[in-house]
Amino acid sequence: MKRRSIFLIFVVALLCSSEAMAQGVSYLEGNEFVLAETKQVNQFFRRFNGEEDYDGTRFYSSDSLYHDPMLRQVYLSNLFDKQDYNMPDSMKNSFIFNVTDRYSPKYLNHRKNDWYAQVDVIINYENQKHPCTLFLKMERENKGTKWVLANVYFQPFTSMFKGVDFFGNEPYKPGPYLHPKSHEIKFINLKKAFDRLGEIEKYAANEFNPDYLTLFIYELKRGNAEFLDVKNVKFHFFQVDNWYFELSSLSRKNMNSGWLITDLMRVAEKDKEILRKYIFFHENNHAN
Amino acid sequence: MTYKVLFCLYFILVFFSTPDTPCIGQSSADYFEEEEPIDPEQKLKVDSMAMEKIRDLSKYIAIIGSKNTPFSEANRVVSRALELFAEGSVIGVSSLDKEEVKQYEIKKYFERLMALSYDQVKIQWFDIQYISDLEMTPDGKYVGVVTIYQKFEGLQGDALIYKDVTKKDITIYVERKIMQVEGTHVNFWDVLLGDIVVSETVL
Repeated sequence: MKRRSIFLIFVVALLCSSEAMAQGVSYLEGNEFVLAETKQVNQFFRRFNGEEDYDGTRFYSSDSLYHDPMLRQVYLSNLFDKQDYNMPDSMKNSFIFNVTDRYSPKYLNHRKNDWYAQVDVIINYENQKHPCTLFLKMERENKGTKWVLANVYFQPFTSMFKGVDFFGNEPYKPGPYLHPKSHEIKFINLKKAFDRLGEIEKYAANEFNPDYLTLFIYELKRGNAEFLDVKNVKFHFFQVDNWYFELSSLSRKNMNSGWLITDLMRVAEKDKEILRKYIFFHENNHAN
Repeated sequence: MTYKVLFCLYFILVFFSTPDTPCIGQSSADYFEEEEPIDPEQKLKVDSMAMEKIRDLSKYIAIIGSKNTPFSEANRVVSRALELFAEGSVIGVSSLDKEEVKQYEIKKYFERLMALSYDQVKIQWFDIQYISDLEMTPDGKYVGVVTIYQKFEGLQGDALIYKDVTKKDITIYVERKIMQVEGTHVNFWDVLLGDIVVSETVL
């Protein structure tokens, strides 16, 4: 018990150190920033769950501090981007209170697949550089795990399919169609349909949705698209019931640095599918 | 821009609709446990083997980058350094002022380092590193990432020509192997370095 109290005091003292500590620090003495930084996503998981010491030594279930709620509260308060004022303290505190509840604690599990990596990349497409967003998720294969492509957002594709009511929320608008007696005339009117390329998707079935990942792989295989570079990576977490948060990497010369929560939202479980779709497919979510 | 405002608007628009689009989410029960987790003692051994290889790499970089190293010796050290890596490994380099991560094959990276030829290369380590958990890959190997921080200084004479402080995220591949020693099977861990991302930091 005494060891635990001393340790928590030490952690709080280190995490609460003011930025004044940054003044005049030379590289090799500047380790408190490195120590405080959430250096890997792995460390974010471990700190979130209370599964490691302040210096990164792993706790196991036999250790007294493993999953300790007080330790988690200290860590969690420093896992938010403190310079983002769009996340009110009341909301952050409510989240921390919720996930560290003694009777119903919530932990993150990287093998639970309801979290996504958003990777912003550069693609050379038809001899021009284009930004492109890849979404990856974790999947099991054989005995191990791997990241797999779940979706692609690529503006040259999405602009081709502007006529598709992708989210299913547009009011009915009359459009072109193949009339119900077309079979009697051997579908000779198809020629006219295929000449109307701007509205061609109106001739598709209700359940039609363009699959951008298929298109992306097709264009890579055809040699029309070429992968160039990775620009940025962030993560979307849906694992905590009734919450969503975003994780991004921030490089700063202070104690609030590394992989941090950069957005937090209360989202009812029934509405999470809408948010996933928004993140995956909505143009406002992509810098294209 | 934060998602909140946009999502709220979007949510209002779709709240009463019943989209036909396929479900992209997964049930919260979809998770998988690793079949053969490495026990803590073995993990400590593997961690120390990985750190040893990373320290070797650092020494080699200092030798390769120094003009005082004869060309033939530098080539020999490059070969030794390449032996530390799994085939096809790359180094990605990112700087604070550029968004892209530039990638080099590991051999190309060493050749570029040789061409820089400082009179002296100083590499100093921060005494903190972070070693991730090991995860099993589909082919039964384990993979982890070691993060280290280093200060690199390239000098010509006494003049400092280049310096940076970087965070290096180094992939390690770990494989359990068996070899025969005097008729008995001996288990051992083989550790190889893999892809590396070098990021300039503000430290």
